[in-house]
Amino acid sequence: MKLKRVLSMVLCGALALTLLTGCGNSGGSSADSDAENGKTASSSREDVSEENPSDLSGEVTFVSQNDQTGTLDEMIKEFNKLYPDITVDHQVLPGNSDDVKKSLMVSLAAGDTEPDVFECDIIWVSQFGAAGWLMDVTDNLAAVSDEYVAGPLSTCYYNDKAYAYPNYTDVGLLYYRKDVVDTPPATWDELVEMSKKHAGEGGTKYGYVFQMYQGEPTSCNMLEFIKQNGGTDLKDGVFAMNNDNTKEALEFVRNLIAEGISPEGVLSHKPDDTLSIFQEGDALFMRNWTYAYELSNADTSKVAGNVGVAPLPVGTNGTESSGTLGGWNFAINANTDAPEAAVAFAEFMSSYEAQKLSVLKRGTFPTNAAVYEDEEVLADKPYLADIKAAAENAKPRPQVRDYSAISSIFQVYFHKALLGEMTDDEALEQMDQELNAALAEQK
Amino acid sequence: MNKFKSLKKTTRDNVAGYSMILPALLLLVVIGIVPIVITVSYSFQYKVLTDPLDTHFVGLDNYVTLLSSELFWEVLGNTAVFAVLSMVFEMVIGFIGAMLMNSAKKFVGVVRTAVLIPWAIPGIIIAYMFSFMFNDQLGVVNQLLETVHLIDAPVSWLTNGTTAMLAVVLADTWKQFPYISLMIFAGLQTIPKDVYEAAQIDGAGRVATFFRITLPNLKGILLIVLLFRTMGAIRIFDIIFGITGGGPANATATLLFQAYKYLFGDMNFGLGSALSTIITILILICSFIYIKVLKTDD
Repeated sequence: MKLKRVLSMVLCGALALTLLTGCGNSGGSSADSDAENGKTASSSREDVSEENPSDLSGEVTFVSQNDQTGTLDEMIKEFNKLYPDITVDHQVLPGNSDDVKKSLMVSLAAGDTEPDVFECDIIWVSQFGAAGWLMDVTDNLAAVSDEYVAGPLSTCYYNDKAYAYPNYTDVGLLYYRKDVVDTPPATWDELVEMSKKHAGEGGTKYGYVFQMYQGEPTSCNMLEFIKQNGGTDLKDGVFAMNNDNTKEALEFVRNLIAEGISPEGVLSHKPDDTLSIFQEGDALFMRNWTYAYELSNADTSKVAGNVGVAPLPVGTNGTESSGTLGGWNFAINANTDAPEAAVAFAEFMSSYEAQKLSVLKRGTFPTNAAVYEDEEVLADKPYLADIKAAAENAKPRPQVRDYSAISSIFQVYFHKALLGEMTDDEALEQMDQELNAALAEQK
Repeated sequence: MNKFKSLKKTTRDNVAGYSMILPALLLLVVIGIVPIVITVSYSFQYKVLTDPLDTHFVGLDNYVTLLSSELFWEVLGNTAVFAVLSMVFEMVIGFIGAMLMNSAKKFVGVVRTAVLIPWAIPGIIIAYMFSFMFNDQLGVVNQLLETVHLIDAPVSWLTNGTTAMLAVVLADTWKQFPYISLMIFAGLQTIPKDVYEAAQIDGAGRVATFFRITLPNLKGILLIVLLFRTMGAIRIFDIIFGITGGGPANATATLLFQAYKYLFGDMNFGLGSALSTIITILILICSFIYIKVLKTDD
């Protein structure tokens, strides 16, 4: 009897507590975040060296994507050698970019002080920046901006203000089986020809695999095909994509599937699915992001040691290889309660030393120009020299305030055209119309 | 004087009573009513998080935009197809599960617990499990079918609108049937044994017993189950998000998935809230119809 009473007291207490904390969370108002926006923290990187650690202190919560290689933790260890008094709480969010975004948005939109620093997909910078969720780091970044490659650096800016530090860059690449073909195809025609000739050799079943899952993969892959064929997306402030370049690109993809060069399933694949097929040795060529290089050469891959990499092939009407520019930055929460520590941390994670570690351990593409010239890096990753061209030719996705609204429209109409639910003309005409309407709303 | 005293006592009792339910009431208001009111008020505003300074009242604009867009009717149709298919599958399999649980003589505890396992797994994990199973190149479904020679080449389940819908329905069925089984099983337990014995003496067959005794006695439970599952099916999200992402060509995009895209993709809280409000109204209408149609006489 007594126990019951105690129990009910405890439960009541717990209930009251949940109520209180529930209310407390909604306290962060937009006025706070605006005040934080103007805050600039002093950059102390110059005065810190290994022998002379900084006494800056604080606690930084750092949220990243899943990192199977453990490199981020090593980078944090290096950071702590310079800043022994800053504690970094590293948290990992599972899933793909969309999943991570969903989780981050819940905290950011609520005005939470955590996470202080997070890995931010380059396509979120404009959105999050416009929403006032990211700390303005224009002055801090300006001091070190000449260290970075121009393309990836531009993804840190929105409306001439910097909201992030470059992390690593990414680009769509062509992976091929070195044990089956000597030279990678440079054009679509060569890709088809080689696929027909060599598919079946070396255990392969398919010629070319890529990703057209209805979501960001469709936008990235299809825009790539279109630009390889001389097409464009947003040009001079309008979308005018209903043209032969786009139609030929759609036709090319449909033919790849119809002729059995690509499995029909590519329309439901994400990058990880494609990678698994390639790792199993089932495909001769693969379009994937840079992360696939380390993983297709890992011990768990059946094609380890036989993987070559090259820029994506050029279309019939195109002049240059074009891969979609991707990648991640380090962004700082505008509401962080440890702005100085957060800036120091983001700056270190973006620095030459940290990026070198990241390149060597997780095979990322650096955004720090000097890392491309580093002898140790080049000795370990000779392919970096080969594909620097691809990185330099990478094309950004439309850089507008709400890219994801634009991307949703791409996905639906590209898919409808590819599956034959609409003719190319209908799909592209309606797509252009909706894209321009969406763009007008964002002005 | 005497009367006054007793009145005072009732008030005292009432105060005690109200203060007892106050925490629960507060909780309900904070986590139930307040968000609904906020959502409805957002639905009448232009509210885009990336455009924070321009939030303003727009009346019914968001609703007009939605109802006049092809996309809305497309996802509404998908949701209806999903709801009907998943409920038919779930009710049939759920019923069979309940009968099995009810007639289990041995290992009763084990059977009842085992049936519940799918229901205890979070939806998003089930979604990823099924997305892997239905993968055309790496999935176990194609491998099994190929082993028993039902198909020669891998079937690409998720690139065809019909088979993709089937895949999400199957995943949802697998997750939800234990709940239905459990509810129906509880209902079955309340039917007195002697009614069945009387029927047996009167010479009623199994089929007649089922339709004349079992079903009518379960009407109340079935109503509740149908109601809950209709709500569940209309606001389906995790299964779609994890398996198809609304694809191929929007064939499996449902209402709530579209609302998610407005809210978390485009950060358009006005449009997203309007769609959420429409979903709530739809659920209310469905519930109302069910209660009217299936109302028990007592």
